[in-house]
Amino acid sequence: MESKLKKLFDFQKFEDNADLRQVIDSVHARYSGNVTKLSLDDLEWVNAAGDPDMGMMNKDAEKKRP
Amino acid sequence: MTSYSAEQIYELYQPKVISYIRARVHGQANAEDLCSDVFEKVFRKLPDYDPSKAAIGTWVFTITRNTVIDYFRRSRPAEELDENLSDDSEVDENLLSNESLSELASALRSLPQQLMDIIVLRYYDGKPLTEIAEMMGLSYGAVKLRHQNALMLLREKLHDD
Repeated sequence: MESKLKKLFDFQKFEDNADLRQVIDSVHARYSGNVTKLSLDDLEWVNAAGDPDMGMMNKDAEKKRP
Repeated sequence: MTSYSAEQIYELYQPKVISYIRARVHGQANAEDLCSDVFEKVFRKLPDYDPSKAAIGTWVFTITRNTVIDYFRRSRPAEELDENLSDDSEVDENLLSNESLSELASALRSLPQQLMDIIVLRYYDGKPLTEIAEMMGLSYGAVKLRHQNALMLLREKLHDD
């Protein structure tokens, strides 16, 4: 059974069956803790080192521009 | 023989192949090289593809998976292989289909929530039971017992011998 599950879940990573994706997402949502998913717009402001605060400083500076 | 042309297969499956490889192999160049290897094999073997044995997606997946396993064996012997790939027994192409994934989804939904969570975290995410116990705020013994129960229930629901 374990071998079968490993193969099916590995295939899922290729096939991305929508039904199984829902189950997996529901499990991940329960254990995601306080991690906040950034939107694509917000991701543009994350600097190369991955520090979102640096990006937010740039965003604030842009807002203050006339 | 298949009714798909090489171009159609590439268009349909290249995004899935590259995404699967990128999740396992370090470096964009390595991933692109492997993706090229996969499609070189797919096109070479296409005249021998038998649609009565496996869906085209399952067939492309099998070639992709075997190419990744060969890559690790050939050039990264010291690197740890993804746990889901370490079981190098032949892929049963009858087992792998969109229907079987939907059946698994349905079987998982029928389990008590904690058992479903343990199976997904263990076999999709590859997390050890000790880490799952910590995530769920349970003892290792409790998770181990529930893991065994979950496997037993899934064996019944998926008619696995």
